[in-house]
Amino acid sequence: MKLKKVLAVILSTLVLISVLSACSGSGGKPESSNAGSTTTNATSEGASENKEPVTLTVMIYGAPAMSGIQTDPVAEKVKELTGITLDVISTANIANLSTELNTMIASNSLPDIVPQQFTEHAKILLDNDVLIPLDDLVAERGQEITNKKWGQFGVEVSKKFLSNDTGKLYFIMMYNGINYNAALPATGPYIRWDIYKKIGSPKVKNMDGLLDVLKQMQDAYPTTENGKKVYAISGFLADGGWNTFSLTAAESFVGFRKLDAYGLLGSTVYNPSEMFNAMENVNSPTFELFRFYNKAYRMGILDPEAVTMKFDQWYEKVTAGQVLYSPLGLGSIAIDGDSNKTLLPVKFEQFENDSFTCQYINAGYGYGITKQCKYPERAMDLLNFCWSYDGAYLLANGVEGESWTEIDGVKRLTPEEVARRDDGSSSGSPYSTFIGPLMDERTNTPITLTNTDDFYKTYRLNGILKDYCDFYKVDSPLQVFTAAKYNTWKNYEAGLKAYDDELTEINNTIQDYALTNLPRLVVAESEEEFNALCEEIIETINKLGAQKLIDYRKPTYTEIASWYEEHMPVVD
Amino acid sequence: MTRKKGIEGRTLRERLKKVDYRLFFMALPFVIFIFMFNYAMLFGWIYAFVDFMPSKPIFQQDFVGLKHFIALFSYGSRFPLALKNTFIFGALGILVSPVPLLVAVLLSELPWRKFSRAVQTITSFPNFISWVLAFSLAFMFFSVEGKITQILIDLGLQKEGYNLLGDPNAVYWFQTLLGLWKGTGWTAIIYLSAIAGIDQELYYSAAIDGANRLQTIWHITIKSILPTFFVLLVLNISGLVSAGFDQYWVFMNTLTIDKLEVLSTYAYRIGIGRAQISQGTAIGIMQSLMSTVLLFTVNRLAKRITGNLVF
Amino acid sequence: MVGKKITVFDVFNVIFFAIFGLLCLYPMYYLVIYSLSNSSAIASNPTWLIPRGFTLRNYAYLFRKPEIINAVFISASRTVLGTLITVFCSSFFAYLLNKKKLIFRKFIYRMLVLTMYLNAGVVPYVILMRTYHLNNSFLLYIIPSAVNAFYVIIIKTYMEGIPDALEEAALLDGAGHFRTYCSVIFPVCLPVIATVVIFSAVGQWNTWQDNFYLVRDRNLKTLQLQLLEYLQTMDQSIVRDVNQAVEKLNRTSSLSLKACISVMSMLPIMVVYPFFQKYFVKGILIGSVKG
Repeated sequence: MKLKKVLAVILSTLVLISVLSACSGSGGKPESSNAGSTTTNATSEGASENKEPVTLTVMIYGAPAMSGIQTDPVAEKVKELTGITLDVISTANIANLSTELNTMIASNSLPDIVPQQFTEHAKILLDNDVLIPLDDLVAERGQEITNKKWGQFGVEVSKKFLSNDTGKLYFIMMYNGINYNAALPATGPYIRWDIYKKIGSPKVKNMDGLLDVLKQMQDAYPTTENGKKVYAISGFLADGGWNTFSLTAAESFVGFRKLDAYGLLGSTVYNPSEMFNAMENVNSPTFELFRFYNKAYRMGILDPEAVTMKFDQWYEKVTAGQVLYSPLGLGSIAIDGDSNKTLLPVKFEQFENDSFTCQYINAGYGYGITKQCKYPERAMDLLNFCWSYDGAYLLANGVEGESWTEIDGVKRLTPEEVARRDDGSSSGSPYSTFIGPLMDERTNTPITLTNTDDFYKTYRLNGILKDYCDFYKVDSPLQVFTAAKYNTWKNYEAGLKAYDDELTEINNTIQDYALTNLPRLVVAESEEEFNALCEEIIETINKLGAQKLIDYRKPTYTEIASWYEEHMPVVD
Repeated sequence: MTRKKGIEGRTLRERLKKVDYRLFFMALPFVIFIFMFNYAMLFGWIYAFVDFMPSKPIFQQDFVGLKHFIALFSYGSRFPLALKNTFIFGALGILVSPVPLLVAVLLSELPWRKFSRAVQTITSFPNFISWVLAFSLAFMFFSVEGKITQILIDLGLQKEGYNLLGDPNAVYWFQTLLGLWKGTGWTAIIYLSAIAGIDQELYYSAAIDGANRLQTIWHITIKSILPTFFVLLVLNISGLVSAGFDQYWVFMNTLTIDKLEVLSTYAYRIGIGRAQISQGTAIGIMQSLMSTVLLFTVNRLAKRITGNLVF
Repeated sequence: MVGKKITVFDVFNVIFFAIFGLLCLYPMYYLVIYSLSNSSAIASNPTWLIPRGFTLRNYAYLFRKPEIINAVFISASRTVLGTLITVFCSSFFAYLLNKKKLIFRKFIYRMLVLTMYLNAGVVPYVILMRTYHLNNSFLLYIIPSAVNAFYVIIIKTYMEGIPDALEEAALLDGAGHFRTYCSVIFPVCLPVIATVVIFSAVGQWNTWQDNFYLVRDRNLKTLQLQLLEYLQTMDQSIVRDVNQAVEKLNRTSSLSLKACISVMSMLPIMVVYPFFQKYFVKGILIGSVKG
């Protein structure tokens, strides 16, 4: 009797397993071309003549997490216009793209289109020889790329810096151009606007001046309505991921990376287009940044817990009203449900000497076509499509007619779409980073419609944001910062050659050391202690081999900078 | 010198006559399975001895010998630190290993079954709270403004503004306690099932012999589940070099990282975070070797002490 | 058991577990109410017992998409099937390992134990599974976990405590090894089997790494991975969507989602526990099987 029961269980198990196994494995294979070529009505630019339907596996960098064959309206439209079905491999859960690339190469599971973000990734892909050269394909099918200034620039960058010195084209650069956003900048000196107004909106001279103003704000508002202690500045120095965002590599403090986009929490005080050695002395920009936080600490306006908190905790404190300063734009925080209680970036008086990254110029992310792709021409079609204006607008914003319309030559999101995004039922197109050009070269406006001046004026310039713009007498918050002398940051990233093994070793050791020790600077008890700690750090890092990194990068950096200046499309 | 004694201590030929071949054939699929899914993967250990290039087939990789292992001990490497912390946490873990056993015993002695069941379910809850969340909870209670911190300050045990999460001196015992909170209820399940299997006759005999409550517990309950305890203990000891990643990773910050860096976090930082697959594998090999050595050492030790091998 | 009098020992015992139980219960309870609270409300105004601004919005964020249903189905399937396979294989193997007449017994057992400490990293794992063509297959979720050293060890240890008499009786009746295992040993081992069922079920429900590295087919995505992807989307959007309306008050937060996911991860245990707790009662089985 027991045995029968057992056998019954085993049998049903086997049946279930076979059913489930049969269900699987159906995705991911390219469809056969017996569906015939689909002709469309729209004469879309960039759509290839041969519309043989295929499925391509694409790894999209920076896209929100979603994997598998896509069925949303945008993907359907892409299929309609190009015949290509997207099978996406998300990068969201990847701890590190390098590891993922290594794993995929080793196990022969590369996608058809693979991304690179930094030169290390390009190195992995090129050294292992897994990409096909694209020179011919681009000439044949890449018109949308080459007919644009930035597209062409991307091709040249790719040939010069991302080809292992062969001069061949392996990567098509995407997300390329000026990342203009009329709205609030992604990073900047955000402060609690209502409290700032309460103390009379005193002018802020510079970063040091900001400390004084913050102190005034904290004095005026020492605890929240619920009795919790308020600190003007807090942080999330214990968060591994974000900490590395701010201290990305030894370079950021042996000085070859501009701290503004990578700087600890976003603000900076120096001329970003010059190269500097942060290890030279205790007054270098890296240490200046930490000095800012240390001064805050010694003034009593820095939350000592910043050293042990992670992003989640910090975000909670901001939402609770316990933090008055944020280096990150957090979008629409409305504290206690009051939209007047939010954080907005304050303008410095001495902008000529300061810089805030509110626009950066991007050579973009590169995408390569792998050797295992069965339809490389179609892959090129897809990349070409992403560079076409039809394709770019679609991928960035959604389907025309549903999400956006064109009125009197101005493209704008529909009110319904805006409402959907505001209440969370839609988060826009999932492929918004998979576009070629960032700007429409015909009108000099951003392709992503939520970044345009028009969008801002139509939908966002109300309530407290209107007050803010009126206060500074501008039309959109971006203009507050374009007054700064160095408001654009040119990303020379793609040109920096990857380290070889020995230097990678040194780089990593220094990074380990820096990650653990730089935050200690924040809680030094006095100026002397701070400087002594700086000296100690400089000494240790030099002992770990920092000079080798500097010697490797120094000569090439000036070359890269001047090459970029020569070739980059003129920016006005 | 006598030969090793097998079944009934005879020579090999005679022993072969005594074995049941059917058993072996029944076990064979499982042995093959283990090989396929556990040992076959070890070809990957080669990566530690080469400069790994994913596109090259194994035999074309550049052999570099022990270069990656030596690098683990070079100046600036955190490997020795990680090793030290791993052993400290391991020792502490062994020290508190009787706790789940005791909790299981006490659970089984609770007078009301409904209460006992409810409590047993509840004590396993912390196991389902991810370490990331456990950190958030710990932050809530133990941060500068946390409730528990407030209590400690009121009691005069700590100064105002004490931050437990940033106190390097508190790391070892605090993490051990957290680990106990999270794992005791779950591990106790194993002991509970062992207790459930104890022959009731033993209890009746003990009652007849006039043993009191505590004596019964000690001599019957605990003694009967000691084999389980020893097995888990040996596994614990052998596994201490691989122990814990999430827990230590999540509580790391600049003030405590030197105490929290263990082999697993270091391996992750290098192997996954940096894609230095060769070095990550080297650490993995070191961990495996240490575990194996520990396993056999403790096994021998157990034989010396109790007369029986655990494995 | 001995007489039903409540002793001092019992009193202390109850108090101890009341405290320990509270320490274990409260954090979970807090996570549940956190997951049911409005994210911004609870951040500014922490609560201890009741949700602040009760809302199902956090769960809605995770469950609004239709693919979640498939993910639940996949996870449930792998939990049930995977556990069945693991329980059967691990227990039968443990049974065999307990037989002294098994040739190479010690060697095999040690090889088994060692598997717990041998680790070669992600890359060989991925390569190997692809070689076996287990990638993109449901079988990946249930086959490689079939023989789990830890489960085998605890089952075997338990089986060592079973009196030989039980088995000899069955063998005398002419039963083969498999028959003996099914009719005699397995029923007696139900407490430890129950343990393995619980552990295995929870493990299957919460595992996502195999899915992540090896299965790209959308239809085979597990619940846990799907939830993590939603969490990632949320994390990214906090930073990227600087341009949201200021009035977007009811946004969910990363912490809220994490709380929801933790609560979700407990589901199988809440389902499985009531059935299996009865096996943890002392002596319920040995006595009945005897004779």
